[in-house]
Amino acid sequence: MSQPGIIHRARRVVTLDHAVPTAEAVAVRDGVILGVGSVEQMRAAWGPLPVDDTFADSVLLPGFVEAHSHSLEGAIWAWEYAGYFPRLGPDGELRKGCQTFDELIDLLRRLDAELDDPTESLTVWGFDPIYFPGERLAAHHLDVVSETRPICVIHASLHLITVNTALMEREGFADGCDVEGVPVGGDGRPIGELQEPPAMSLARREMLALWEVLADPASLRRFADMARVVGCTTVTELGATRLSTDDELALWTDAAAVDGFPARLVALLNPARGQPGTPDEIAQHTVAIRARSTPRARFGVVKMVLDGSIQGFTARLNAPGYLPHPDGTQRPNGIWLIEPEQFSAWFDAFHRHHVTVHTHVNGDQAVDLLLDTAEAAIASHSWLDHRHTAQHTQLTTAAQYRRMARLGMNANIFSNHIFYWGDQHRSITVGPDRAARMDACSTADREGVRYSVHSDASVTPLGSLHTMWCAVNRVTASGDVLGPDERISVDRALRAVTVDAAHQLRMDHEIGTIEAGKLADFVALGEDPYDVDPIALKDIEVRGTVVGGEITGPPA
Amino acid sequence: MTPSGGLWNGHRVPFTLLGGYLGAGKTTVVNHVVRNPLGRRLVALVNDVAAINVDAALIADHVGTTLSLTNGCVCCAIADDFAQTLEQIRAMPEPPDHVLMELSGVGEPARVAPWANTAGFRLDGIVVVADTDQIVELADRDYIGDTIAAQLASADLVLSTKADLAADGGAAARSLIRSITTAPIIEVINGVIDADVVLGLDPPRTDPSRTVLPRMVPGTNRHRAAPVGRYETSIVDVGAATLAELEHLLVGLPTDVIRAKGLVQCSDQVVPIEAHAVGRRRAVRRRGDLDLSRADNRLVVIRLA
Ligand SMILES: [Zn+2]
Repeated sequence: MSQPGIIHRARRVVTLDHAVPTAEAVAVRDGVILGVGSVEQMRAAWGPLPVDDTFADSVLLPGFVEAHSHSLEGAIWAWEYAGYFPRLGPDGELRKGCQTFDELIDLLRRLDAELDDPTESLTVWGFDPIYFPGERLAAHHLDVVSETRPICVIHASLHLITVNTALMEREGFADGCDVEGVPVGGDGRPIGELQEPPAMSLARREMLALWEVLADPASLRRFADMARVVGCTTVTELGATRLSTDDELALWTDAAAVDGFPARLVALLNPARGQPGTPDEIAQHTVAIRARSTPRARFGVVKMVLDGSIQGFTARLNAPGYLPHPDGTQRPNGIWLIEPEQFSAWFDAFHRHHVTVHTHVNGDQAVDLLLDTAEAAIASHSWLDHRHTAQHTQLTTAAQYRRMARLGMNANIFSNHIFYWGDQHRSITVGPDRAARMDACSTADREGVRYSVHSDASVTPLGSLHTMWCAVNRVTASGDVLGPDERISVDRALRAVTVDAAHQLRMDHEIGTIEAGKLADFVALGEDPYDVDPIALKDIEVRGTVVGGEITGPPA
Repeated sequence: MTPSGGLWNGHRVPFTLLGGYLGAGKTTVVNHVVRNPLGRRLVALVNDVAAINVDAALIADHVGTTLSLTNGCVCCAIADDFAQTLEQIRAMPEPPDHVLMELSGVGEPARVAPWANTAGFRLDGIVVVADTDQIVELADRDYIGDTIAAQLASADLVLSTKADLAADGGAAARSLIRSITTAPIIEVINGVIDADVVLGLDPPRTDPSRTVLPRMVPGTNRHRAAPVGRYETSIVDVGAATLAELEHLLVGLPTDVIRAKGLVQCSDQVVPIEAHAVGRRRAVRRRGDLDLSRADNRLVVIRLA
């Protein structure tokens, strides 16, 4: 049965629809936008609808769309945050973080006291050693908290953990260990740092728990809660999950079917994650699971990964490659994650079955392989509106963007890198010139490629305002501006995190702008992004979101 | 110290990595070893279970991606990350005798090798399969040429497949491989190779009656016997060496040694010392988990004939 509808009055409605760029109000019925205009116009058109003033002092925009994130962003909040910077949790509460070792120990002591079972391990995450240059976190620091309870501190990079002696004793390596990535002290005993996933796997129960929590519906709820807190109404899982079986699909649809679920989830299928069958069968499966989509859990788009990361020196680069090691020796090129033949077979099958393919390509050589592969597939089968998308696309050159434009492809640019790793890219990975043209939004615009910008949460924190801020200002963590010519306008950045993000997810007919007939997904902000100093974009207050016409609330 | 979780009481299962590009013949080698494990309880980690022609009759039950075989073999598809795949093996109540992991065509064994030394496992060696007819072209191919070279450079042993099909008898392939690595090159015809060459000379834990002597040509092969005369086995008496002398001896073994293995009571050590060679990889290990009485002070050595 149809509801009567409602009119949301706002300080301003910013629609991103060129026909009606701003308005006083937006009318909504059954989760769908009836129209935008003045309250009077809405009533004249749609009858005497009630007016809701929840957002009367706020600016309403289309809800932000994060087109490259991972549900780990929600899963990780199963444990307490121990990072350096204050951070909002999925409950909307600010965690003040740990600015000193003493604060970290105090946090661990408090959490230790809350646990009844003396053998239950204690995990915290987000610790960033970069901000503690004087001292290296080690087991002896954590042993002060407990000599019996295993303790595991996950570093912000997710490539390092520090554990206490009790944990090493439980796993039998407190006296010594021949696994790579386990540094030892003067006495030959491990100091408690476990570097890179093989060594991290020595903390067996803690790492297993991390995998298990990813399959917990509560993690998807926290992911959506986190989205609400930062103003995203649609967030994505880019292929780190499995979508083969009914159970694997139901994890998403069931979690999102709960009343008041505060975001839309789009889960992309990754054929390399154990999806059985020939390329044709996998493409057919992807088409088939579209029918399993629900209003708040969507399937049917594909993600593949070609190379690694630039900061990990595993992205595939064209000449001249990475800067040499500090001692002058050449660094090898990065790694491929799929054989070119396998990639081509999958890509071609998806294209023929009209499935949009998103491909992780950090390095410019990986971009070349993507473009070669896409060109062959596009030439062999006519599908003009394919929307195939280069993900991350960090070192993509102007020539590559020209080719991408001719092929009708999209990009999703990892703008957050400029802030989080820009200084390192300039000095360690690729040097100042190539760092200046990394994440080249302005070049993509100039060469005619439609793009979004993203966080890759939880590689960097979820938050479209912060991602916009990165693309608009290109300020690094040290405060420098990296490649000022690649900065873009607030308007361009806003489109990137709304309608253009929706476009590459094949949802721009439903979301991404505020216009009649689209889904009523909004974010309420304290300021109009067009009015603030661009350097203050990231500090705009997020006051709430509306998903499918419902004002979302904090977790119960 | 052993883990409180009891992970096989400190025993570490030898773990062999099998690399090589698409079409090199990795699957054929895995198939052959899985069918002829020479008494081992083998876990084979493969990229695609469907590609492994395990007889349906060998399969006792099928749980998820894990196949439990009555004949003592288990196949897992590497569907997820290494961590989760290895946890599936660690969860087995009894340790297998050996793990053989097939990498993807672009997998670089040296980068994966640290996983083979994690809880419950120890790296046995890296075996890289090269198609005699294809490898020269691959090493020069766009995008993947350096990956092919990195795979060969990390090899302890190179299996050169389809040598019988190469027009030049494999001369060009051999010279390319030799320009990258000094690892022994073993020519393989039809994927037929002795499991002791691929997996080493470990006696299966489940069959104490089996000697450490390799069975070069088992009569029970269901296909064809391994090509006779390609390898020769010898026994080297170590005597009462010190650890340093044993290491010296091991490093001094000729470059065409494919496999060597022995348990030695060194004159200056209180626990038995295991000497272990896989092609270029030579290592000694303290084996505090083994009784000194098991040390027979000799190395079994397999060499190219
Ligand atoms: Zn990602």
